[in-house]
Amino acid sequence: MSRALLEIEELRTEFETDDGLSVPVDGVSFDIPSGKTVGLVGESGCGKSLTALSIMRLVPPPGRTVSGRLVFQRRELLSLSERRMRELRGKEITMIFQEPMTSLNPVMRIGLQIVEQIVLHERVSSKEAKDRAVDMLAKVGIPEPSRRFYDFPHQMSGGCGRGR
Amino acid sequence: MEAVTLTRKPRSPLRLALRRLKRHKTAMAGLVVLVVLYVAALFADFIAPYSYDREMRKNSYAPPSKLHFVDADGRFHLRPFVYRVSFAFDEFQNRVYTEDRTQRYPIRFFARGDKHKLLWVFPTDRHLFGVEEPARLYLMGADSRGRDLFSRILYGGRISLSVGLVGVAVSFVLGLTVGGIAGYFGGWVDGALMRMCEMIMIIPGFYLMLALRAAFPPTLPSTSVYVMIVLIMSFIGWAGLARVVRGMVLSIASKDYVTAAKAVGGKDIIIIFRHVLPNTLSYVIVSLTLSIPGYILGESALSLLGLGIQDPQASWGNLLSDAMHVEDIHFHPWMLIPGAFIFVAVMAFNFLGDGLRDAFDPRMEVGKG
Repeated sequence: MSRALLEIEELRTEFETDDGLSVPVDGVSFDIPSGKTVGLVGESGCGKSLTALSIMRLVPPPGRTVSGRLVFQRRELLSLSERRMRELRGKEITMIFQEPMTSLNPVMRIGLQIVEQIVLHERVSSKEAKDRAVDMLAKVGIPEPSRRFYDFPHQMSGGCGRGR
Repeated sequence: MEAVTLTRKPRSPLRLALRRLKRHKTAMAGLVVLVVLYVAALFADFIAPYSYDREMRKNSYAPPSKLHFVDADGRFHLRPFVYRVSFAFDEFQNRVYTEDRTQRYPIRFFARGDKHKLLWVFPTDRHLFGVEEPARLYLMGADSRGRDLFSRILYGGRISLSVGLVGVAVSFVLGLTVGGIAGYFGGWVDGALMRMCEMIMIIPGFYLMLALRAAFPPTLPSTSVYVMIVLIMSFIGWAGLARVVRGMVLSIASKDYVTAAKAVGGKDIIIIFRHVLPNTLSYVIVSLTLSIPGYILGESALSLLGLGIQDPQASWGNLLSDAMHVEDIHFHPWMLIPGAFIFVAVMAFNFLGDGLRDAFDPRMEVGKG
C-alpha cells in the first residue's frame, strides 16, 4: 500500500441525458498524499466540481460514477454502503463549496447550521455544541460570535465584509 | 466600521415578511376581521345572549328586536331597552309582530341566562349582555322556532371557522410530507406518489365529497359528522399542495446548501424537514391561507344540502339552508345574514392571503419602496 491519503484511479462519471451521454469526469487519476495540499486547476466547466462530488459520492442524478477506484485510508469508497459513506462525510472527508451564500440554508440561523454538523458526528450536549459553534465563528474572525450565532445568512453578506 | 451591522437584531425571513405584511392595508383589515370572528366564535357561549338550542315557539320568525331609547311616555333612557313582542295573523295569514309598550326591558351587561361553560371549562350563567324574560333580545331576528339567530351564528362560527383551520392543518402535514419525499427522492417514488395525487385531483372535488359522505350512515352524531367533513375535505385538499411542494423541492434539492448538508453527513429525512421544506414555507403559508375559504364554503355547501352539521347544532351552512326559499327571503330576510358572515370570512381570508403573497415576494419591495 502506498502512503497516499486518497488515491484516485481512472475515475469516470457519466451523465445519461436525453441528448446523449456526457462524460465530465473521464479517467481521472491522482493521489493526495497525507499532510499535503493538492490543487486541481482548470477552466470553468472542465469537471473540477464533479470530480470532488464524485469523491464524495454526491453526484446529482442522473449522473453516476461508473468506474474507477477511490481508495481513502485503505477503504474503497465506491463500494461502501450509503450509511457508512454518510458517517464518513463531514467527519473524515468533506467538501467546501465555492459560493458561501448559496451553501447556507437561507431560512436557518447560521449557528444552528454549524451545530447541526457537530451533533451529526459527535455525542455532545446541545449546550456544548453551541459553545463549539461560537468558538468556530470566532476562529474565522467573525466579530461578536455569540450574537452572530443567531443571524441568518442574508445578514452575513454585509457583516462578513467579503461574504459575497 | 462594523458598528451599524453589529447593532442589528437577527431577522428571520419570516419576520421580515410579517413586517411587510403590517404595511399592507387590506391584508391587515382582513386579519382584524378574522381575529374578531374567531374570538367571537371562541367565546360564543359568553357573547351570545342565548344558547344555540334555546327555543321560544311563540316567537317564530320574530324580526330583529328594535332597540329603543325613548319610552312610550316620551322619556329618554340612556340604557337601550326592548319591548316584549307578540304576533297576530293578518288577512294573508302572515305573522305581524307588535310590541307591548307597557313594560320596558333594558339591556343588561353580564346578565344571567342559560348555563354554559366558558371556554369549555368554567361553568357560569353570565352572558355579555341580555334582557330579562319573558322579553327576548333578537339582534338578528329569530328562526322558525324562535331561536336567536345572532346566538346561532356565533355558535355556527365555531364549526364553520374551525373546519378551515383543522382541514388546512391536515393537508399541510400530508402535502408537505408527500411533496417533500416525492421531490427529494425522485425516481419511482416520485412517480408513484404523484400519480396517486393526480388520481385524487382528477375527480371533481364536490362530487368526491358527496360520494365519500354517502359512504357513511346519514344519521351520525354531529361531532362525528364534523370530524368526517374535515377529513373528507382535507383528503381532497392535500393533493394539489403536494404537487406544488414537490415541484419546489425538486429545485431546492439541487441547491448547494442541500448538497453541503449531505457533504457533512446529514440524513435524508432530516435534510428534507430541516433544509428543504422550510424553504417552501413562504409559498405554503400563502397557499394554505387562500385554501381556507374552500373549506368554509365546502362545509357550508354540505350543511346547506343537509349532509353536514344537523339541526339543532348550528353551522353557517345549515343556518343558510333556512333561507333556501323565495318566501323565506321575502318574509324574513334576516335569515340571509349567515350568508353575509360566510361572505365576510371568505373575503377576509382572501385579502389576508393576497397580503401574505405580496409580503413573501421580495420583488415587491423594489416597486413599492
